[in-house]
Amino acid sequence: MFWHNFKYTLKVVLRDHALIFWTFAFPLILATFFFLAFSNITSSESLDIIDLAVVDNEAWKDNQIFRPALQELSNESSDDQLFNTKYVSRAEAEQLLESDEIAAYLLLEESAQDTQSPASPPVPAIFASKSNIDSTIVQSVVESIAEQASIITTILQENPAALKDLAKAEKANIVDQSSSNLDYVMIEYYTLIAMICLYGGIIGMVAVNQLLADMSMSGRRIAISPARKSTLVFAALCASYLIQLVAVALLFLFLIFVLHVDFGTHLPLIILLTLIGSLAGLALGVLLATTIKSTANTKVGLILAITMFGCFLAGMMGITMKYLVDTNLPLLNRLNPANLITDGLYSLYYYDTFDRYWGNIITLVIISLVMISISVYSLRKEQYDRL
Amino acid sequence: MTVFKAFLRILARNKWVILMYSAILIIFSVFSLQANESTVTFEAVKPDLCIINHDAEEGITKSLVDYLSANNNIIDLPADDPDAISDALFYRKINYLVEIPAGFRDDFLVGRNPAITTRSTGDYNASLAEMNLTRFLDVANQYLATAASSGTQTVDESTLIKNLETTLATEVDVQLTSALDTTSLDRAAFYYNFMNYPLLVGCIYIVATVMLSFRDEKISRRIAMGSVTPEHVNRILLAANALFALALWLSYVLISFVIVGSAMFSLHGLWLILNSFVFTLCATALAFLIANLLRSRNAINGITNVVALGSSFLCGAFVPITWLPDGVVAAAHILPSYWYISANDLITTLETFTLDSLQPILLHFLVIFAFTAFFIIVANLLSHRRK
Repeated sequence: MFWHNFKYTLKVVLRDHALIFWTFAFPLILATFFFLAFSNITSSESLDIIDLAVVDNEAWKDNQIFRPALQELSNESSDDQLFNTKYVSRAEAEQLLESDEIAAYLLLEESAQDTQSPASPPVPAIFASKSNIDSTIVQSVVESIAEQASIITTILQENPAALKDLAKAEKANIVDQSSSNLDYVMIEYYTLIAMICLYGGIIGMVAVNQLLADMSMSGRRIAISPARKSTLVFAALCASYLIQLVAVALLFLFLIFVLHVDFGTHLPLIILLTLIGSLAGLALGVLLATTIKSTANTKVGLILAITMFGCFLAGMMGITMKYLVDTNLPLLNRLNPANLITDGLYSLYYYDTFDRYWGNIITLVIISLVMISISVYSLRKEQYDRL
Repeated sequence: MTVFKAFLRILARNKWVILMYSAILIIFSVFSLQANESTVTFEAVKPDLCIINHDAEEGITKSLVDYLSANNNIIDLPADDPDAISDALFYRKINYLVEIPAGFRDDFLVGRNPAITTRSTGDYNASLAEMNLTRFLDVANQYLATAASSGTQTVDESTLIKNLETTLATEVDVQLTSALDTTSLDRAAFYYNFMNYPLLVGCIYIVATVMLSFRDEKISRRIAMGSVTPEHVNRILLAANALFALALWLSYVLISFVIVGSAMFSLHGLWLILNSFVFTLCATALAFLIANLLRSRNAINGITNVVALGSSFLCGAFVPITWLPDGVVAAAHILPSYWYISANDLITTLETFTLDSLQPILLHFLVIFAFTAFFIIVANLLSHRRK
């Protein structure tokens, strides 16, 4: 009986085109969309070389402080190049700023050279179109250069003999201990894995619906037959789980080999998480199938809504959401299966220890067992001949 | 009238879909739009920074902490929870972490140049934070080098700090040339760009559901037999669908006034509304084309999501166009959503509204109209072929 129903469930599920689309094709399509949209984000995040213009007037040409410093920072062959500088007239500079071709331009006033005392050297005025990171950096750099001049002036005033020791000054000693796995776009792909694990619940739901008397004709026939319900249900669940695993495996292969998504280096643990995540999805599907008394469409709609909401809280539509829930409502995300899967994958990618990972796995197992127990209890109590 | 009432009934039965996607639009707009104070004077960007200070907050250490606090947005995190810090970095809650070792003040004054440990997200805000930190340490080291040679045994810390703080107080003003309130305009652009998704979903889903319901064999045969001509039915359906699309567009525009606020009461707002109207016509035409191509009701949900999500991801509704890879942007030119979103971005950066400056936007409108005409023609061809 087991193998008969196993085979039969496979046939029924695989013939449902809409179901196959949602569980096999849609995640692959969504993964492609994610890849196309997000692949450039992390490189856009890092600082680009800033386009700058300087008004090339007499005052600038004569300047001994800012002009050489800026030339050094605009040196194309240098690794520390910060700016891409054009030397233009004032009118041209205004033009470039308005058409957004430069972030800012510098103007050293002509008259400044004469009126300023040597103690406070002239500083160029900065013109920018908006308050953003580029104009802030321009301001910061110009201030730095002005500060160097001011340091020399101060030392000359206080202790001229010490000027020669300036060259002996140490450079800032900063030790960078950043983690290398900082690509937060990965979370989006992890939520996608969580989504497909939970969508698999629909397969379980469709399979179990075939066995319920109030959901399908075959269910009615089975209810009056002497076949053991437990065998039938178990066979249906095994078949659904198998199809689910194939769908998840396909997605993984696609993500790893085609889109080159980085899951870290702990492949066996990832596989374990996926197996248990799929089990949780299956348990959810069966729970809704057996406990909710409604049409098939409503049940599917409910699973889709719950899964989508769970994935939303886990960060699928913006990782800020996951962070917000983790810090403000941590209990919600500890019980959200979508988040448990996402978080498990995230902790394997980013952390060196496994405590968080095992915590997620254990919670998933407990949730699955609870859901399955409730479903079994509900199925056992099914009686249709009480009128 | 019966036809129109049937349309309304189908609409009523599917209202949850529309409501859900509208809710998504509202939630995202409210969430993602920071409540920034809009300014027209220059405001330096302040990275989000966390300081973990293991030293006593006195002397040079205090000077360092004060300086970092003045130039960055300080976020407090528990120093004894490394996971919380790692999470904050990953989710970009902070861009940069500075850890001041114990005994920093003493070590520094003696000239040991103690190391400051940092962790960074590697994005441009982190680069700015690192620039600030380096600046402080470099200037401090320069004053230290020159102070040490003044012959006294110990360095005069208070003079050092005084000189340091005076030098670092060097300020260079940045003048903004643009009078645009970019914060509110960016909000408006985000809302109208994101609107691409629910608008497409709403139009395609409803139009396809209605048209396929009426194309159902039994119903179309009854209509063919009845006294009302099929052409009449089609005309009313067309009008009903167009009315629905307009109603949807109008409600989204009204919601935008609530969410975006006063920025909408301007020429920018007017042109954004105009652009969205032109695009709604295109979306309705696309919906008709898709309705003519579809054959079964099961496929509606799938196709709607693929088309709407696809054009939203690829054309810059979720991720700004400037962050998309160049290849994707080039390919996106074949989708009408790209021209709509690109026009939105142009509108929000316009300074003056002259025929010259509006020309690119009008060109975008022309392209969208061309798409609309194309969709209508092909839809008509297909429906004639079917007869």
